[in-house]
Amino acid sequence: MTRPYPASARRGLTHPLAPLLVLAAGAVALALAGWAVAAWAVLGGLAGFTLSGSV
Amino acid sequence: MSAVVLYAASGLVAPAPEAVRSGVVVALAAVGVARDAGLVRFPLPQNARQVPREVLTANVARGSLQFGFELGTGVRTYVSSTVPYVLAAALLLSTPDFLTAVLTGTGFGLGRALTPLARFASRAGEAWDTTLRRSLRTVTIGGGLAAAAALALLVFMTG
Repeated sequence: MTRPYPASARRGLTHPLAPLLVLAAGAVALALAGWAVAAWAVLGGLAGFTLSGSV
Repeated sequence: MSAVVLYAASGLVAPAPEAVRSGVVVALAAVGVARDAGLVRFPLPQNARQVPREVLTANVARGSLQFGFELGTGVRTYVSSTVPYVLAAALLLSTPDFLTAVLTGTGFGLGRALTPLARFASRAGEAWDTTLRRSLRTVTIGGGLAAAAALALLVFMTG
């Protein structure tokens, strides 16, 4: 029997789109702020996360 | 590892005008988004094969390392997003310093790990998998758009 998706804060925090929102906003915000090295690092994370469909 | 190789190779394109290199980066990012949105179609280099299950069953510890290495470096995997290719091209063309290249590569690995971590933390794997499948198009296109915006800012504002 499939366990139902938990209707709680856990659901929001672990939603597949949650990392996308954090990484996307982080990369753009850091680039805007001029923190280039940090922006590149977060951009790397964003690129890695977009491979979520890769197996 | 790939980021370090790109860092080393970026010296070959350094003689090209920075404005030209920056323009190419942004153009590639836009094309990447268009490809992920299905507006344009062209193949990307990849070894489109799955890592065999036997890799994990023969020796769990060594198999896990091998699985992670092959999946993470793309030796055998299906690449479902253009963003990593755009990032690789951006690293090559923007000629960042060594620290930036290393941190970008490290970030890539950590980003790659976020998917299984989020799934594990959800404590509802099958339901999470279903939600991920429904969200994949948003992840790839949204990620591409954000990457394009960030790259445009990085290559034109910070130089």
